[in-house]
Amino acid sequence: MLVEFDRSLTSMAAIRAGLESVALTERTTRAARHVDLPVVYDGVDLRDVAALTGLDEDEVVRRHSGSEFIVRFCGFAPGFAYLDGLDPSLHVPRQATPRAAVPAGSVAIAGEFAGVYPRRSPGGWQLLGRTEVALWDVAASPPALLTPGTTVRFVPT
Amino acid sequence: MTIRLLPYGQDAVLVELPGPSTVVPFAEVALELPGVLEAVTGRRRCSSSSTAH
Repeated sequence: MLVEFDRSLTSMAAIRAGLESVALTERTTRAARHVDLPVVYDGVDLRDVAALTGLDEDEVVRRHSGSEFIVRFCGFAPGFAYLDGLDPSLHVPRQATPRAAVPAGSVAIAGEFAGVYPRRSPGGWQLLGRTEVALWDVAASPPALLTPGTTVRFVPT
Repeated sequence: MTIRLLPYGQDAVLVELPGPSTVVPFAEVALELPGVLEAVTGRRRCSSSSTAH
């Protein structure tokens, strides 16, 4: 973790003291926020992912929806969360050539991560399906539905 | 609790955390400290290929 601070207001020693005082047991055992995302598994890459993994399409869906993910960090686009917890059998490479436009709500995987595209954008991940849930809402607080630490499960519909 | 801090320039510090489950709690605490501007978290094993969208 990188902590940036204002040297006119604090010091390295103060930050060390603050972090060393963390009541870690209490904080790590409290209930994390959880989000269920309904998914229609009709992604254009579902067949290719099945071929890459040696599984049939139903088994790909079963393993993707059978895992609980956790948001490790966010980036790339507002509301895009990198989800850790993907079944190792589903670790597949990105598309050799990224698409110029991936539809909003696309549920995707690449490497060890899973994710959902919050808006129409370029992208190279393998598309398994889609969700209608809004990942980014400027009227909400916070605007991002998925924030670090949130647990996520994909629910086939 | 003893944690390892590595100065990163004059106004930032890298904090080596005990494990993945501690990232969020430490980030929350860091953000509550007076004078802290940002706490950026990420996995240790990140690469441009794994985090590209």
